[in-house]
Amino acid sequence: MEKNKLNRFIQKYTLAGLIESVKWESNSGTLKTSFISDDKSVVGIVKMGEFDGSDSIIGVYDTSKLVKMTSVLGNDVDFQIQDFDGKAVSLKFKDKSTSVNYMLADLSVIPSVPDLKTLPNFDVKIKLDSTFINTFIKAKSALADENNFTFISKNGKSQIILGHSNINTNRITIDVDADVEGDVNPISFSATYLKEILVANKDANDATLNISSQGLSHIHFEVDQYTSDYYLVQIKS
Amino acid sequence: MNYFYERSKFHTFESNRTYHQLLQMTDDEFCQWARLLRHEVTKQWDLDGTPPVIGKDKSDIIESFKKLKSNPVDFLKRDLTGDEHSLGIIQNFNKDASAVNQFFPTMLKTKISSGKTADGGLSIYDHFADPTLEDTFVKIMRRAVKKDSMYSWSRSVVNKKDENPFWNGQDGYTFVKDVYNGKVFIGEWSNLDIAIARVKSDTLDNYGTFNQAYIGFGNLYLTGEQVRELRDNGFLNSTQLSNVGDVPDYYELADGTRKSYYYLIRWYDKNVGIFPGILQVFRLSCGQPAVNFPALTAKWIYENYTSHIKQTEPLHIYDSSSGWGGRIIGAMSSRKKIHYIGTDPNPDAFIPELGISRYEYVAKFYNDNCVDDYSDVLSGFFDITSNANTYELFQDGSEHISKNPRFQKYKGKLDLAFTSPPYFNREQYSQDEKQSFMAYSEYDDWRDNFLRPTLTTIYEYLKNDRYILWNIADIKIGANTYYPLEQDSIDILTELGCEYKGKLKMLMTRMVGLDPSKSGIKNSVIHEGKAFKFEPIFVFRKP
Repeated sequence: MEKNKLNRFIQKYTLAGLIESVKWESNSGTLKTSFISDDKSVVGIVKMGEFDGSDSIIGVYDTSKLVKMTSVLGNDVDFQIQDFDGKAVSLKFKDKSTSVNYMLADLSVIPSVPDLKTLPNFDVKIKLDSTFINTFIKAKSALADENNFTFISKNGKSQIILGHSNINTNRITIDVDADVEGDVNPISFSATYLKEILVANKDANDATLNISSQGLSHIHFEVDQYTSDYYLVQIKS
Repeated sequence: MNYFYERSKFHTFESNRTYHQLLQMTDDEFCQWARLLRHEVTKQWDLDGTPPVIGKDKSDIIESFKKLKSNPVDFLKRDLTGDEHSLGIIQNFNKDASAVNQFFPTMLKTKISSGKTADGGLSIYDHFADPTLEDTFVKIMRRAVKKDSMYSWSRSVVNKKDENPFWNGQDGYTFVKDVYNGKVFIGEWSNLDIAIARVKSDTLDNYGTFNQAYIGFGNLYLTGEQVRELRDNGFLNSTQLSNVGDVPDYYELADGTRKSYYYLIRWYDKNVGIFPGILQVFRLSCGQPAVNFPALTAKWIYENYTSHIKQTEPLHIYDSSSGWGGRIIGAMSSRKKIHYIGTDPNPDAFIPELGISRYEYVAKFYNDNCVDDYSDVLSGFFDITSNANTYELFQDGSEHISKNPRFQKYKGKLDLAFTSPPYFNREQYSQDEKQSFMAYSEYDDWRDNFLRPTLTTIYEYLKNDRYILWNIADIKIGANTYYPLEQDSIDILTELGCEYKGKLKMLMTRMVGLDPSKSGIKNSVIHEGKAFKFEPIFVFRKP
């Protein structure tokens, strides 16, 4: 198995270390994980096809440690889930000269992720092209303390704003080409997570940010064997 | 109304002065200030329920508590000392759960005794509120604040430039003159001043003992003769000399031997206030504070010592002395499904207006604000189920709880028992007659009528193939004599049928300048080259 392939999967859910503890579910050649952020503002589902591990559910408590440990290995690795008494206890990776044994967590200590029960009507669709992605990432880096972004659409003009406020503040406003039904009052979501979602999915050619004025936004990425869905929940200040 | 205290309002105190202002006071003025401070602290404590600690506001408490779910709990370290009974070292100095103390405002009213009996135990609160301790309090303030015995506001000038960059290689005598002539505290150091501190000769000899980085360096110091000369020629003013009196040259030992006094030069920032540094002085100099059990260590224990259990129903975990709430927060913050069962007879841990205990109050606060805090939007689109862990609390003494019909439903259902019971009479959580040290004032009586029935209930209520973890330590009653709480606990549980597996060594925070391995402390361990005091946690398995 290629280690880089697994790293791409990890990158899409760990979001630069914002998400650490997840269950990996392997079934019929697909590896899947879902997560909810600590602040409960983002729910995500990441899948990777063409996975050659056996069917199982395992608990990865400290993803950063796993990434650091496997960094000592070359790209071509053997991968195995070690069982003890019918329970998965560790992941074993091995290249030509080095082996890594990563201890798995009890599934009960991994955060449970709520299932999606319904989707709202998304009344805003914003194409995430490379210009927007690069601008947003730079904007968030420039205003690192701004945790949220706000979408506004009025009189046919749509904008994404970092640092939106009723008073005079440092802010960056990005004009976006949005498909919108009527005006949309200011609605805010996590900029911290959106930035990391965009960084983690830079390998995707295109995607759409769907926003519902009912308070939910959704981004779907599909590239190579990977599909990723992220749901950002409205943040009320 | 909230039943926890929030951030103290020391900034509003009339006694909130700078250290420099205290040095400027005459001794009478200082005594008046210390009495005012004592009065203001007591008033805030009595009227608002806020003890002299920094405290957090509600939003900060929630922010800290929210970290507990995802905080890593990889606390177990190998014990390399060769102790065959050791199961390892628990190293956890995380403070995210310390806000649980704010839900137990009487913690610092706990009297800590020494010696054989409970008599004479004093709490930090007593030092503020007991009229007979007013002079003692003033003396403590003079030593620990004005003379700054704990280096809370000032530091000695040393011949190590990175410690005091304004020092330019002078000897002590020249340094003082240069300070007077405005050659030292200029630019970014213009807020600094010096104060002279008298020390015995061995203080100079001990410099650098505790820190390798300081070996080979030393304090700048003056002799008595130099201090008098600098004073008489106007190079040192009365504020700088306010801690040294008439500048003696020597002191006499009991056998008549004369030993020299030396005079250190300390530097401090004239704008730095007494608060919050003085809170540490209260904790360390006004009696001994009660300490909460670290919630994350409890969480680690719950998760680690139930990892062999395969069941879908919640783990039933029993805490026979709920104490100050650290262990219930550990249970609530675990992602394992836990039903915490706790008991504690301390009447101060009950909120009569609400008809619930403080344990239930803090657990509900945690669950409402940190676990099931889903937004309406999230709940609208996602299938949310409560992730909160559950609890049931009792107010019985653990030696009697088996007689309570409400508790009896747990017989044979417990998956883990873990507590830190009273160490006989050492910590007097309240003066209520149900407290075990009050009900059984002699150690043998306490062992037979509190310790044994408590452990018997635990053993009988535990399922098979389950663990008991018991955090207890011997208490010192003489120079080298102890009440054997550790061995008595081991004996009782093994007699009942438990396997004794060994002990975990829970490291305690190191005290500045104290080497536990050389201070006559019974439970100390060398870990990563440093000596730590530890609290033993004994591990037993019911086969």
